[in-house]
Amino acid sequence: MKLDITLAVERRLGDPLLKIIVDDYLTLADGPALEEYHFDLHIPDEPHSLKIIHHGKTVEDHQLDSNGNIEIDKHVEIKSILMDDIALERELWDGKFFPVYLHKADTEPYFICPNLYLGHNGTWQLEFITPAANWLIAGRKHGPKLEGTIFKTNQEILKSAKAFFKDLPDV
Amino acid sequence: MTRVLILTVPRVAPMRPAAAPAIIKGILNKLDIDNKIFDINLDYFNNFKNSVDPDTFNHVDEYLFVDKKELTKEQLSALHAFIDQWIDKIIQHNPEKLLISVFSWQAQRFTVELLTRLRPQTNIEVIVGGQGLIREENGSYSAIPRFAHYLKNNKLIDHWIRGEAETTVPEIMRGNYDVAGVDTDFLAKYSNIKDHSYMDFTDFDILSYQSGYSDGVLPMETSRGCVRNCVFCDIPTMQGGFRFKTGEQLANEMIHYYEKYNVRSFFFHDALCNGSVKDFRKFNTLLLEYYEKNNLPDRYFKYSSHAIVHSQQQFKPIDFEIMGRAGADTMVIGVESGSDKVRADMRKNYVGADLDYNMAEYSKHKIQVYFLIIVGFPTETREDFELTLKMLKDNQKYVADGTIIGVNLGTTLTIEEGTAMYNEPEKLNIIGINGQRPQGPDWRCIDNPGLTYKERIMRRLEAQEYAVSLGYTFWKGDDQIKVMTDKYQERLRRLAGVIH
Repeated sequence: MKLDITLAVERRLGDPLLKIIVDDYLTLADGPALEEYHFDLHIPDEPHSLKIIHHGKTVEDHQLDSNGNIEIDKHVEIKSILMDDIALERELWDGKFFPVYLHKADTEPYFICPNLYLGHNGTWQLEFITPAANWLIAGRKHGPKLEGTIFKTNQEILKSAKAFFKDLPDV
Repeated sequence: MTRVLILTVPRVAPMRPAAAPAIIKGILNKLDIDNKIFDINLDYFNNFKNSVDPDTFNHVDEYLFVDKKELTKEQLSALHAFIDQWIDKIIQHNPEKLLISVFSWQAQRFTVELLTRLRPQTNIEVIVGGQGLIREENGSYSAIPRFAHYLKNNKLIDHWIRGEAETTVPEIMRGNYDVAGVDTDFLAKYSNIKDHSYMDFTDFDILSYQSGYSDGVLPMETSRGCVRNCVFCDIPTMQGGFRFKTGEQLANEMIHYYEKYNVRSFFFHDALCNGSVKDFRKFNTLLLEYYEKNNLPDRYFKYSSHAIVHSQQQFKPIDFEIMGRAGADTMVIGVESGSDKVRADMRKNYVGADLDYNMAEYSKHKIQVYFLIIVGFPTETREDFELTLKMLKDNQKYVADGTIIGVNLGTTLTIEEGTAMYNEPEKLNIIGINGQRPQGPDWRCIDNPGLTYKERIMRRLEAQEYAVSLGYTFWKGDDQIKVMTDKYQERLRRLAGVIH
């Protein structure tokens, strides 16, 4: 599967550090964040998990203005992910970000979703299935709904037709 | 008094009003002749369908288009009751002339049922026209309109119109039946498309169609004929040379329909909308100017159409861009095959790289595409067929992003009268079965002996299974399988004496 990831990277306070992992065993990238990643994965057709891990950020990695508001925050933001040349649309917003809080308050959530901004250290995780095109098509359900119309196509009728023709003489 | 009644008869997919009755109505209006359209086809799908149990409707519906289908007494009674109520309405109106639009072969059985019951009850002059005057199922041309002859020989009609209404209907209304196209095997004189009147849809219940658009869809026409000459297509024979409306004429017509019927979605029902690149560009540009002048957003109108695949030299990225902004919604494209060799044999006049360019541009500008594919062209080898499957796979990304909204694989290649394949079968080394002329599905290619009718059907079914597995929305599969099964059984009966 082709996997293309585009990020916006805030590096004024130094390069954010990233790991990109599939299924907890396949490390695709590990080091300073890049704006673009292009991978060619050889993974079986089954459910998978993509993780983008932001790590190594310290308390010094954001800069405050005179009012105490964050002026610069070391982070990456996911701009796009393409699987087999197909851009993820709403699927991208299904990804969950599990932050590692430096000082976790009770009110802070265990994970944030939808979220594409990786400001805290932590893991952004997206479950997907390969072949990606089939997974995306099944989830998106584009196009007209033909059931109950004269345009319909029924799998059972196709199956019986195959069986019917298979045994007929070739005339 | 209504002088002329125009009928639409089943079975035509009820997606939008039919153009032919609206064209005739426009012609009659121009002649100041009082007329009315009865949309029996829509009533069949919207009311009759719901007035009987689903099983009865399915049987009746199959009866209309499956050759050997028979109905029980009860099922036939249901159909006749539906027909009789329309006959009552026709007789009540007592028109001078009844014009019946026989849209295709799928409207023939209903036409016969209707006329068999109507004729004993009235002397109203009955005139039929439309593509359904011929018996061919996959073509629009035949040297002899056999269905029209059948109706006339059985005294079910008084006259038929073969070809264009623009040059025949005015003559008939003047009492002149001695004109090309009226009761003749040859076609009516071609009209000048630049002189055509606007269609009149006032008798149609536009919003009751299953168009999928809340404000309905209207048919329009950009051209007659085709710029290309594909070997399996009879349009050049049936419709003559390519004649097209100017970009300005087309834009004005669309704006007229919007202003009169408040419809913003249109379907061009002719062979292609982008045959004259210059006029098509002008049409899109004028729509954009209209939007701007009236403070309307891009894509305020939507239009769908058949379109051909152009190369990047012929159809620039800017053409796709203005097309998308003007409102191009869905383009029906005869991609036909994934093999460049087979496409060349078909005279499709484009290659796979052109299709890739077109698809990327359609996707970029959010224009939907509907694929038409022919399985079992005479020169299609197994390797060529595999390329068609590969083409489906390669374009799966456009299913995922919503560009491709459907695929139609037809019922395997048939050879129809009026096509280059019919006229010159020797060019592809095609022969008929049992010494007959190659026609319909009854042909073989000497150079490709493995491509039997059964093999073509098996490939067709395989392609359907594959397309569905890739997530393509597959159109008309059930109907097409019924037709192929029916045809093959007929062939078995004819050639092998096997009856199922």
